[in-house]
Amino acid sequence: MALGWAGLYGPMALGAIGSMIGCALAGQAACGALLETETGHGRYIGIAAMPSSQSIYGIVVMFALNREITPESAPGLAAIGLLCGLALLFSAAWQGRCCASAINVAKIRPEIFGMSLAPAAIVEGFAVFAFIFALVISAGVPA
Amino acid sequence: MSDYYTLLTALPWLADIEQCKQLPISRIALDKRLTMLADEDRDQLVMIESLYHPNWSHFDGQVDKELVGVWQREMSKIQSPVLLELIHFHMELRTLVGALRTRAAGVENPERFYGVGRWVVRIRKHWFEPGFGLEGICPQLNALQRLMAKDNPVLVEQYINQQLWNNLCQAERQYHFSFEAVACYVLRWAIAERNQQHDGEAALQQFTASTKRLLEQSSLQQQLSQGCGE
Repeated sequence: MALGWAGLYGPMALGAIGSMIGCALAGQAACGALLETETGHGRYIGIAAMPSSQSIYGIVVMFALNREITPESAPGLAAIGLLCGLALLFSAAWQGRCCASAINVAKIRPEIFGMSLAPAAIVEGFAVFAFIFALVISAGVPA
Repeated sequence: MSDYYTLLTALPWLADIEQCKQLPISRIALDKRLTMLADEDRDQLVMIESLYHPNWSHFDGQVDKELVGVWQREMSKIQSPVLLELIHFHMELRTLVGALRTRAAGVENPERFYGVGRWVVRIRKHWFEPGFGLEGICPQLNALQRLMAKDNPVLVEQYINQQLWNNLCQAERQYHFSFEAVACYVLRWAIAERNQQHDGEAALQQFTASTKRLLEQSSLQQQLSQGCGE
């Protein structure tokens, strides 16, 4: 039963932890870039906020999984919730690193700003996979 | 050792050594940014800089043997194996140049030669062979021998700087946002600064010579000379 509750709140909590790590890393890089550049500050802050999407995915998965915790539903909730949460956590943390690198190179050559975001976008794509399939599978968990 | 996301993105881009005609940041501004380093890392950086870019005037009067001893003691205080490897690379290049120069100066006893790094024993053992038995082991040997044969120390220094620069760039790319990347940047900055100082000194010498020549040719100088003669 406890694992069921952990699975229910897991995507939200783990996604938020990942977003904290990712936004912190990218945010630190953005602060450095602000010191070094005269313009384009808004976009650096924008990139730094990219890893926050995993928290939103976590909230949506949590609502999708929200049902009465019973001995029948608990294992399913635990498996989906915790694994989805872990996927969101790691994707947000590593996306933060990608964003920091993107900020670093975009500061040097602003013309490659869009291209430099490709790695972060690819990582986001994997987070979306985890999110979508958690939603799809959650329909099979007994209510 | 921590990660330095803010510090590394706050440092301006250092172009390639050949293109770097002007330093993008002064030493004062660089030192200000480096205050973001943790105390322990700052101490390490000072030590690394003093080993990588030593102030030779501090070693006046010391013989090579003592110098190598001091060096090895200081090296043991460096915590990062990556940076230790970079310093070793630099010292090995300098050791090689030192060996070539010592031999060219006519020293016939290899035991009188002291250096730092993996190649010292081999250099002593193969002292009378043209490449110290390092052909195929040390890729920089041929180029250094060729440049030293031209008897132009500036070319040798430029080649060494380029090698060090490439080595530091490689490490910097490998260790993103770490203390190692910060240290590599600072060491590269110092190479660029030294390079420009050489250019500056050469320019100053040329300027002084040209000014002197022009003054000697000017009518004012001639008038003054005539005035003195009368």
